[in-house]
Amino acid sequence: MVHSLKDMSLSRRRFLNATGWSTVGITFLSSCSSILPALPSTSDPVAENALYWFQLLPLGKVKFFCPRIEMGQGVTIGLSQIVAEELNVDFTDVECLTASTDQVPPFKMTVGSEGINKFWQPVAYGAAHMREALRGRASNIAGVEAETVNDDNNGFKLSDGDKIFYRDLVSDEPFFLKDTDMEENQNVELYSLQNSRKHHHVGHNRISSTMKSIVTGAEIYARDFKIPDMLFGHFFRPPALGANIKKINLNNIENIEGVIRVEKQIEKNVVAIVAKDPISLRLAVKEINVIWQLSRINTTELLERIDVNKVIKNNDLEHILVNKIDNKEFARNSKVIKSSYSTPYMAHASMETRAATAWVRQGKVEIWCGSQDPFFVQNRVAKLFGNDLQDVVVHSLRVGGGFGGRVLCQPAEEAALLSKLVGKPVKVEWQREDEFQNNYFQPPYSHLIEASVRSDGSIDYWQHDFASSPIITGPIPKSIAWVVDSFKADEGTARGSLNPYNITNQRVRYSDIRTEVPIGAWRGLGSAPNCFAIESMMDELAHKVEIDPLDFRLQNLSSDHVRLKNVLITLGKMISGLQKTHLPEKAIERDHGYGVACSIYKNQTPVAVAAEVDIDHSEQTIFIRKINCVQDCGTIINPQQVESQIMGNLVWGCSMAMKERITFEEGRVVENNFDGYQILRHDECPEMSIEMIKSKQPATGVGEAALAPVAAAVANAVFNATGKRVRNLPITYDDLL
Amino acid sequence: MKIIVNKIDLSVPDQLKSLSLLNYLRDVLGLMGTKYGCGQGLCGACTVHLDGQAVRSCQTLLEEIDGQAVTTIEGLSVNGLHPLQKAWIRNAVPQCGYCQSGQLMSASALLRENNQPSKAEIREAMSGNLCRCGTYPKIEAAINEVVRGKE
Ligand code: FES
Ligand code: FES
Repeated sequence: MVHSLKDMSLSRRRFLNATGWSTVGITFLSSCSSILPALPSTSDPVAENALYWFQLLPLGKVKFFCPRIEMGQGVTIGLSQIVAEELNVDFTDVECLTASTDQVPPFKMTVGSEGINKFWQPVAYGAAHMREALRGRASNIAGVEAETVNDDNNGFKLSDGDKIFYRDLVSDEPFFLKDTDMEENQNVELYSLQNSRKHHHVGHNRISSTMKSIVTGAEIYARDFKIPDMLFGHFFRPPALGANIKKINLNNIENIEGVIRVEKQIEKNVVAIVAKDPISLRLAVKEINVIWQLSRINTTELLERIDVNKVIKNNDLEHILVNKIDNKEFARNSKVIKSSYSTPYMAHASMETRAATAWVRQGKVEIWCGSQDPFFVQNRVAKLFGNDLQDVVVHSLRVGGGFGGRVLCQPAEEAALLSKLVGKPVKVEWQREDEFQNNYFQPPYSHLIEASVRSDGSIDYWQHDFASSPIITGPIPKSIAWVVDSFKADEGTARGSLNPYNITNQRVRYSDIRTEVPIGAWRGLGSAPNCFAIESMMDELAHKVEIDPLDFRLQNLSSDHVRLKNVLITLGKMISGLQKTHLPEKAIERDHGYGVACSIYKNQTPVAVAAEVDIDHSEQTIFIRKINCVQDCGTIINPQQVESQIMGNLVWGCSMAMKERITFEEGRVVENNFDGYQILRHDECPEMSIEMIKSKQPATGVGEAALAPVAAAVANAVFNATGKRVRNLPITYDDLL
Repeated sequence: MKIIVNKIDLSVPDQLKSLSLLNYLRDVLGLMGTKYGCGQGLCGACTVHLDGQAVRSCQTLLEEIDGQAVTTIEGLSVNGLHPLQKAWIRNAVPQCGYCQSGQLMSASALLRENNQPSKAEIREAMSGNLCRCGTYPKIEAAINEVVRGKE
C-alpha cells in the first residue's frame, strides 16, 4: 500500500517556496505564478518531509523511499547505511527505492553533490523517529517503561532479556510515522551523527543489491522499461540549433504496416510518428524526409561573444566578486604575468541515451523515466497539458549517468504528447545523435588573469576577469530569462572562481552572457574551467620565481584553509620523489613531467592533485601516466563508494584535459557521436593513487570535487615536461609544436 | 535462418533478417541487458559473444550470423554468477552501471581466449568499451583479481 500524502495540492505560491526559487530571487514573480514556467526544484529538505520516507514492512524490513535519484554516485547506498545505523538493522534489511512523485513531498533536484551533505541529517532524523515510535509500541506491548526498552539488532531487548523484533511490532499493514511521532520526540538521538558511538554501518563498505542486478543485466533503465500495449513514438528533432522545418515529405508512409499516427504541424516545428513496435517505427522514420532550414549559429561567432578581451573592451564585466585593490604600486622587483586561458563547449556524454514512457488516460498522466528532477518533469508535463500537479505522476528509474545533464528529461514530454494523441502508453527513445544535439551544454570559458609575484614568492596582485554563460539559470525559459538576467549573477558560472590564496590586491569580475546555445549544469558547473585558469596561473607564477609549485601554493595559501593545507602537505609526501628530480626551473625537453593543482569544491571539499605525463614524440602523443590525489570530504560513510567517485572525477578530468570539445556549424553539433566527441578510453586511463583524509568533520560533497584541479595539473605537467604552456583546452600534441 | 541465443535455438523469420542483432535482442526477444549506446560500433555498450568472441551487436546483422551462437549478459553464467560478475560486485565496480554489461562481455571474452592476460593486454582488450562514470581502474582491478585466482 502506498502512503499517500494528505495535502498533495500545493498551491502555486507554496510550490514556488517548495521549489526554492525564492532563493534565486524570483519570488516577486509569484504574483504572476500561473504564467510562470515550470522550474527545477531547488529547495533544501526539511525535517517534516522525512515523515514520508520510511515504512516498516510486515516482515520487519525497512522500506526507504529515498529522496535522491541514483545515477551511480552511490547516494542511495550511503543514505541506506544511515537508515540501517539509526534503526539497528542489517544493511540488507533496508529496501531502498526511489519514490514516485505521489509518494513523497517534492524533493530537491539531485545535483551539486549534496546527497550526503544535505540529506544525512533529515534521513537520520526520520529513521530515528521511526525507531523511537517502534520503541513506544514495544513498551506498550510489553507493558514496561520505554526507558527500559533497549536497542537490539532488528528490534529491542527488555530488561528481563526478552527480545521484541521489529517484525513483532507490525501487523499486515506497513507501519509509518505520524506527525505526532515527530512532535513528541523533538530531541531524538541521531546515532549516525554521534562521533563517540561505535558505528556498525557508517564508515564501512556496503554493497548494494543493485550491483547484482547491474552485472546480470537485470537493472531496468528508462529504455528497458516495458508495459503492456505500449506503442513507440518518434519526434523528428531539429538537426541544428534554431533550425526550422521547410518541407516534409511523407513519401509512402501509409504503406508501412504498424504506423498508427503521423502528426505534422509545420508551424510548430513538429513531425512525429507513433508505431506499434520499434521495428515499424524505424522503417517509418526512414521513409519520411524532413527538410530543415539550418541556422547560422557557429562556434567562431559564439566564442567571440564570450571573449573576455572583447567584454573588457566594451566595459561589460557586470559582476564583481572581489574588489580590494589597496595598493596599485607593486613592489619594484615584482614580476607581472598576464595570460589568457580558455575551455570549450562540452557535453555530458552519459552512456545511457535518454528515454521515457508516458501514459495519458482520463486526464491523468503517468511517466516512467530517469531524471535528476522528477518533480520538474512532473511540473513541465502539467504545464504542457494545463493539468493539476497531482494529475501527473512521475516514476523514477535509475539514471545511466546524469552529471547535471538529466535535470530535464525531454522525451517524457514528447511521450506524453504522443500518448495523449493515441490514448495508449507510448515510449520515446533518443538516439546518440539526439543526445548530443538536443541537450544543454557546459558553456565555454574565456579568462584573462594578470598577477604579479615578488621574488620571495608572495603574490601581491591578482586580477581575474572571465566570461561564460549562465549555468544554474541556463535552463529557464527565454520568456523569463531576461528578467532573471537583469538582476542575477549566475553562481554556477562563478563556482570555484575565488582562489584560496592570501593576496592583498585582488579583483575578480565576470560576465554571464546568454547565447542561443542551451546551457545547463555539467559536472561541477564552473569549478573545473575556473580552476584550470587559476591553477595554471599559479604554476606560471611559481615558475617565474623558481619555487617548487607545491611549496608555492602552501606559501600563499590563506590561513583559513587549514584543511587544504593538510591535503597539500599529504600530497607533497606522495610526490616527494618527483619534486626532487623534476625541478621547475629545469622544465625542458624531459618528456616526463609532473604538475600539481588544488581547489576547494563549493568551499567544502579540499582536493589536491598531481598529474604525471609522458610525451612520446615518435608517436606524437601525450599520455597521462599517473594521477595522485588527496581529498578531505569529512566523515566518510562508505570508503569504497567515495573512492569510486574520486576515480570517476579523475577520469573525467583527464578526459576534459585531453579530449573533449563541442563545436557548432550552422547550428549543428559537429561532434554528435563518440567518433567526434571523444572521451577518455580505458587504454588512456592513468594509474591512480588516492588518499582520503580521515576526519570526523561533517560529510561534504564528493561527486564533483576531484574533477576541478585535474586539467590544470595535467597542463602544468605538460609544461614541466616540455617547457610549453598550454592555455586552451583540450591539450593536444600539436600544442607542443 | 536460425540462431542460438543463450543456448536456445531460435528461427528468425525472413522479414527480420535485416535487423541488427542489438535490435533483435532488445525489441524482439525483450532481452534488455544488452544496451544501446551509440549505434555505430564506437562505445561497446552493446557487446555480446558470437561463438565466444566479443562483437558489437549494433554492427552485426542477423543475416550475417546464420547458425551462430550468441551469448548475452543474461546468459553469461547459467549456474550462479560468473567469476567476473562476482569480482565486479566485490569491488563495487558499477557506478551508473549502464556500460557494465558490455564491459563484462568484453572482459569475459578476453579471459576465455587468454586466462593470463598482461596489464597491457587487459587495457587493450577493454579499450573499446567506454565508461563515462570512469570505472576503468576498478574494472582493471576486478579482472586482475580473477586472473590472479582470488576467485
Ligand atoms: S551501441 Fe554498439 S558499439 Fe555503441
Ligand atoms: S558505470 Fe556509468 S558509464 Fe560505466
